[in-house]
Amino acid sequence: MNFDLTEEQQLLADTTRDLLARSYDNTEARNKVVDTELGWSRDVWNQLAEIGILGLGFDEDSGPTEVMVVMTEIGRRLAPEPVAEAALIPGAVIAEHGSDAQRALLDEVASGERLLAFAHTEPGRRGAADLTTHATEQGGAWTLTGRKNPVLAGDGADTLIVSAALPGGGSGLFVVDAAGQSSSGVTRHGYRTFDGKRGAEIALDNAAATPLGSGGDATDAIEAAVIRFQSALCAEAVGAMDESLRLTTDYLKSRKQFGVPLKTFQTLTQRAADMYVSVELARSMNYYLAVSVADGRLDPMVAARAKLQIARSGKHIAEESPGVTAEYPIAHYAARLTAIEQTFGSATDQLRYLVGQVGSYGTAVL
Amino acid sequence: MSAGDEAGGTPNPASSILKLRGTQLQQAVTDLLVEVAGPDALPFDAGDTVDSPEWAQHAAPRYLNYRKTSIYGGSNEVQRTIIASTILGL
Repeated sequence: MNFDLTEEQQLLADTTRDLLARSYDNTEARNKVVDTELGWSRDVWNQLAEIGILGLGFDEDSGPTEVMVVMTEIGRRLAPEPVAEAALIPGAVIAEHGSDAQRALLDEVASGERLLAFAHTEPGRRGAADLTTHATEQGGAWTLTGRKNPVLAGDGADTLIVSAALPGGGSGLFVVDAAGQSSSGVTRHGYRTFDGKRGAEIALDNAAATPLGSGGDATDAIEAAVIRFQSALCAEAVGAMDESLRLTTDYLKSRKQFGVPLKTFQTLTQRAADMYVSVELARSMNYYLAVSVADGRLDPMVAARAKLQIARSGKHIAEESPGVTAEYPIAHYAARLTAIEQTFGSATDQLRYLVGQVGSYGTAVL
Repeated sequence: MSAGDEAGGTPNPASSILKLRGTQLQQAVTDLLVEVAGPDALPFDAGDTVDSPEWAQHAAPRYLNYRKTSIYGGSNEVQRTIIASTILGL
């Protein structure tokens, strides 16, 4: 199987890498932007829009492989812009399931003018628990009531894609205006996440909502959206791990202790070799998931296997990389890798899911 | 417990055991808290306006902060070298 990127995909990776390297040429530049109220840069956002990054996967010219390529560069530079959270993932849901009128919103998303968020996770609930946010219909008009937290990039979203339990059973997806005139009944408490990104708790109190596309049960579409999100996070984590390992090997070569470079100590170089193995295992599982999604195979088992390895490798890299104080860039990569593990299910959550599926395997004959 | 100083001024190697296991336990416990908090570990200092409890909001920063304990005060690699040489005579 050939995992090489096409010429166009390689060009996309290089262009994204160059753009982000210009804006965030060191960690201080990145941290300064993270400390602003918005938490990311409008200027960078507009540049990303200009080269087409914010519309990747919305039409047939690009898809999950391009999303993967871009997310790895976001991770490598630790860029705070919510590319997956506010554009690509909820955008892909609208592109796949939305009505013509809803799909028309995507032009504004791709141009950077409209911010989206996928409001699915609910307070204190993990895994595939039943949704407590519920949808009600009266005379053809739908409203939603419930709470969503954490909603990544929910602080600044103009439009929300919200999951909710349907009156007749099953789960639906709805489009909710979070910022415009029809946003009454939507209350949000924005916050910073511990890795410097942004999120919100969103309370819906009879908030006006429009069913996504033709409405009805969207259980499969919700699962697919989570899998796409996982794939984007896995790709981002691989970029963050690549850079963490690069910083680690640089440190082992340059930092001196007891009068010699750290690389003189075998106990450290052996551990660096283990880190390399971890990153490569994560990279392979990231490809496996992205290629599956690109093939239209949105399989929760594949996503769980990939996320399990990414979470294990991410933790290994975060814990082994030297320079854990906030003054060193590597500490911020460790924070991001920790946050990625806890977004849409940690290693333990993936194991719990996979254990539940063991019965669906054929019996091994030894 | 004072394992650090013996009457003769030579460090008791028991302090190395304490440093090693003590920091490993601190790191395991702070790690476990993040795992228990799950997605509720993501908000930081969001106060009580959100459903994520305060302990959960502090779990990840504490976990990340405690990574330093295996490095400061003589890294755990240095402690292992002390145990190997002082106790085991290697």
